[in-house]
Amino acid sequence: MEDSQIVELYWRRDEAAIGETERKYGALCRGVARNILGVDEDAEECVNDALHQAWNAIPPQRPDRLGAWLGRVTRNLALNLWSKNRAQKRYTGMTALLSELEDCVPAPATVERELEDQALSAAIDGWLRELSRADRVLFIRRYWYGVELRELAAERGVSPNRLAQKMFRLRQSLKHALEKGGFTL
Amino acid sequence: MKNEEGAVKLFTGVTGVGDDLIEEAGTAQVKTRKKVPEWQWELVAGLCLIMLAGAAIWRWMGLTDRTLPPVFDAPAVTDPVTVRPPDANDPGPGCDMLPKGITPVLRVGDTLYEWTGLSVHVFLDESGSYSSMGGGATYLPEGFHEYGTISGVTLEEPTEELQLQAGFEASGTVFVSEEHPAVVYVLMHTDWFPEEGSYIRFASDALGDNELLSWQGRTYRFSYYSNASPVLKALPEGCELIGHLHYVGVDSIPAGDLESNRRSDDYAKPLEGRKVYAVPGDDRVLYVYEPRYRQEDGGSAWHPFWRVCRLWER
Repeated sequence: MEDSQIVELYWRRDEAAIGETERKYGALCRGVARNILGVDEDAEECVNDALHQAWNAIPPQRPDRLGAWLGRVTRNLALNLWSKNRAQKRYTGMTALLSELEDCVPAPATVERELEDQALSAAIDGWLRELSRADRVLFIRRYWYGVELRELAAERGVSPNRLAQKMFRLRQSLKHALEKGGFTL
Repeated sequence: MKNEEGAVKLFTGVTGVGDDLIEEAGTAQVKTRKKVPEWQWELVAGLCLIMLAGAAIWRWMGLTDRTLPPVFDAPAVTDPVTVRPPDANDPGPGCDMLPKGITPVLRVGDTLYEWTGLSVHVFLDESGSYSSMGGGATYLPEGFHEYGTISGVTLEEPTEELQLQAGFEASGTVFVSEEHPAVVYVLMHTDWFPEEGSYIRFASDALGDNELLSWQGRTYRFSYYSNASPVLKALPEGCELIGHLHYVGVDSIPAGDLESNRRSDDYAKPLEGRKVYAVPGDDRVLYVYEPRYRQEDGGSAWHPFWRVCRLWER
């Protein structure tokens, strides 16, 4: 079923919307949640909450690309769960992602511009679009989809060490771009 | 973690990037490179050293003052975007991660056709970018008719008519078109396809990996995939507008002036109608207008660039 048809079901408050969403995007959301959290039960809780949020948010929202929209909801829910339970140190996926992203945090600039979330997303989006398609895909698959490095390395037929070096260079490039823009976090 | 708060903000920031980027990465297929044995790398390194030594001796003996004509010597008017050499770790787009790492090849008559991927509908979305239909639906373009069925599968280069080289078992029907001799389609059946099969597109070398641009009887190549084709911030001196690019379809070999079988640029924006430039009298290179996104103070914006297309020597 096309995204627009599924969204239409939400607008008509037809409960088949949830079933269709689960059928089409359940695996995607589950994958994202599992990659980030690494705990199956919590990942499942995330996906259920994402579907619940979809039902509550649509309408009035009308996402053009339902998969991306749901993925974002799932990521935010996973972040909240991590935030709530992080003292227990359960979520190895999130720990690894945050530890790597820490490399990208810009050093304080002379002109400091506190970034709102949307502006930061726009800055990262702009930086991504300057990259080659392969680098862009690699970055998003690691830091949006949460795919583990060894899996990415296997996809590309290179050693994890070599890919880790590539990822480090990409993170440094993002950091440089944010610093050049005078951003601070 | 020294700056967990900053890392969390970045995580949130990444969450909000464009839908198209998320989808691009979700559907991207990655080329699997065959691992090269170490002894082959050592052999190549040794040969390179011998060649370097030979070249040094040759010059020292003054046996030549021949200067090879540069492939591209257009001076940069302003600093060009750095030409990125092909990255050994950068597999480029498009190639499937297929069983045994073999890209399937089909023999039809005297021609070998290489797998390019599923034949899916592509359309222009609301943002003006090309997008493809999801859901795994494939189709056979108009004008193709049934030619025969796959005669067998081999791991080696196919030598018999309708034989398929592949790392998996498959069967299927082959479709051809006299109007598009550089492409064939196969309605393929294998374990990991839906029951009704999937249409797979195969293309010969003549299509130039869909990177061709023709002009006055000569063929040029974009080289998006190899990253060897630079983009310039400014056109070289003396460049003149020669016309506008006309996209003739992915299955065609461009022949007329400024015809191209490449559909879109790096941003999936259509190449149809793009301005093309050349330096009068220099037929080695064409320049195609290509706006690119750049970060700057106050936000990001599109800036004009020009992509170099070199004369294609097959």
